[in-house]
Formats: sequence, C-alpha cells, structure tokens
Amino acid sequence: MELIIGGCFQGKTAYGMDKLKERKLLFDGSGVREIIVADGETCTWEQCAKADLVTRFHLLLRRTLTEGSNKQGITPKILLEKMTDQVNILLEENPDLMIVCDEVGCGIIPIERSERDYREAVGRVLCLLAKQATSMERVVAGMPVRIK
Amino acid sequence: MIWLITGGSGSGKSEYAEKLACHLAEEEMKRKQMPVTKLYLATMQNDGAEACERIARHRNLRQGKGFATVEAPYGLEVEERYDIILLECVSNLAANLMFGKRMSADETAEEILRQVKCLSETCPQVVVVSNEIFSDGVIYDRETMEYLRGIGLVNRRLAGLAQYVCEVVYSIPMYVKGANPCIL
Repeated sequence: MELIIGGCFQGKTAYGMDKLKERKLLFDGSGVREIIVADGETCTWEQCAKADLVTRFHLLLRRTLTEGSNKQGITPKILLEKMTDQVNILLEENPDLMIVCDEVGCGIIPIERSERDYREAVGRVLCLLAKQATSMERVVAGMPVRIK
Repeated sequence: MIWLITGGSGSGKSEYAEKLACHLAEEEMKRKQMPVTKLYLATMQNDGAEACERIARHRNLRQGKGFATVEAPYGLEVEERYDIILLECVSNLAANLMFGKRMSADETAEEILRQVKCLSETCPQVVVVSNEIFSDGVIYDRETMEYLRGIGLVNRRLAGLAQYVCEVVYSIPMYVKGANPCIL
C-alpha cells in the first residue's frame, strides 16, 4: 500500500494518478486497462478493495463514523476500533492499493465532539497506514516529498 | 528565478523570504558589480487596526534593508525595473481578487500566474510568499472552500513555474523543489 497525504487542494490525487499511469502495471493482456478510482465521498469499503486508488479517504472515514454514531450504544472508542478492523481487512484484500488522504489535524481543536472524534480517527488511521505503507509521500503545492 | 515560499501562520515565512531576498540581492550585486534595487509588493489591504498592526510589524522587519514598497492589493504591474521583487502574499492577493473583484478561483489563479510571469520577465529574482491553510480539516461553507481551492490552485501552478519551492516550518526552510541555498 502506498500512502499520499497532504492538505486539501494540493494536487495529491493528480500526483497519484500520474504515478499509476507511468507504471505499466496495468496491462491485463488486452492492453492498458483503466485505472479504477474509488472516491471516499461516495464509495463503499468493498469498492476500495477492488480499486487501484482511493481518493479522499478521509471522507470515507468521516461517513463511516457518521453512519456508525447514528446507531445506539456505540461509543467513539468502539467505533474507532471497528473502523481500524475495516482498514486492516481492506489492506489484506488489496495490498497494492494507493491511498490518498487529507491531513486534517492542524487546526484549532473543534468545539463539537463529533468533529474532534473525526480528526482523532483520521489521525489514528493514518498512523496505522503510515506504519504499513511501503511508501509515504506528502504533497505540498503539487510537489511530492517522500517521508517514508 | 521564481521562488515560492509557503508556511503556516507564524511560521517565520515572511522573515525567511526577506532574508532570502536580501541574500539574492547581495549575490546579484556581486555579479553585477553595481548597486541593486529591491521592491516589496504589499498585497494586504490597510483596512483596520489589526491590519495596521501587522503592516507595522512587517515594515519594522524590513526597515533599513533598502526595499522600496508598493501597495498592490489587486495587481502587480510594475513600471520600473527591479533586481529583486518580494511579493507578500498570494493569499491576500487571491482574497482581494475573489472577494473584491468577484473573480472565480480559476480566474484568480490565471490572473496571479499571469502577473507573476510578467514580473519575472523583467526581474531576475522574484520571491513569492504564500500560505499553508489546507490542513485544519474544517469543511467550510462553499465560498470559503472555493477560496481554499483557489489558493491551492495558485500554489500548485506557481510551484510548477518556480525553480524553488520551500515550506517554512517554524523557521526551518524545507525545500520541496530545487536545492536549499543554505542561507540560514
């Protein structure tokens, strides 16, 4: 799994797409197949498992948290544990995935609990991803910097 | 050369950009064996006590360093030729164009790129200061998100154009494009 992080609107997805296009890994006999992209704003975890690249991964985490917290009796801690399991399953199913995720933790700590939980969850998941990533890059103004 | 210097608020990016501009001026002076001219293009609108305070702080920083100052909240067309131009900062300029002149994010990026290209045609060293405002995780209203997208776009396109791109992290310059000239 390769991880690309950075602030919003830095050109992370475009960079990831360029990387995938450059590699000629995507031959399947009949020629180059299209790169499969899952968008965290709308995709399911199952779609991520079949994708080459998942973009806006933080939004998938956000939606998963929101959906989970609507169920009764689930604490943020349990929710984060469940989501961590989902991430681990995803990495097992799709070890070659490229994940693009916003950094979201560099602001004022929000007043609202759910917003704090969201930032915490994205942070914890990114730490887990960073540990497992074969490479990790941070994009600033379209410029990638390899940090792992 | 075009230099893009970014950083969070209070990161020391202005101070670094100024030192860099002065360093480049010295190099230019050695090369030309002649005095050089330095211009500070200020984009902040002077519209309140806090703006005045900030402006005063930056003026003090520059004092005695030989910069001519031109206030240019919307545009950067410069008639005279300068050896060094320090433009501070792109996020103010973008805000003035988007909210003052009602330009879209794409038009704003286009306009700022055009202006910086224009400056670099006559000026050998252009140092542009921008801002890192993209990592607080807040999903703002549409207008603000569009402003963020605009500055992100400006930064990416300027970075493409620039020979050097540097993020200043609490006074430490981290070059993400081009080699660190090691002036600090």
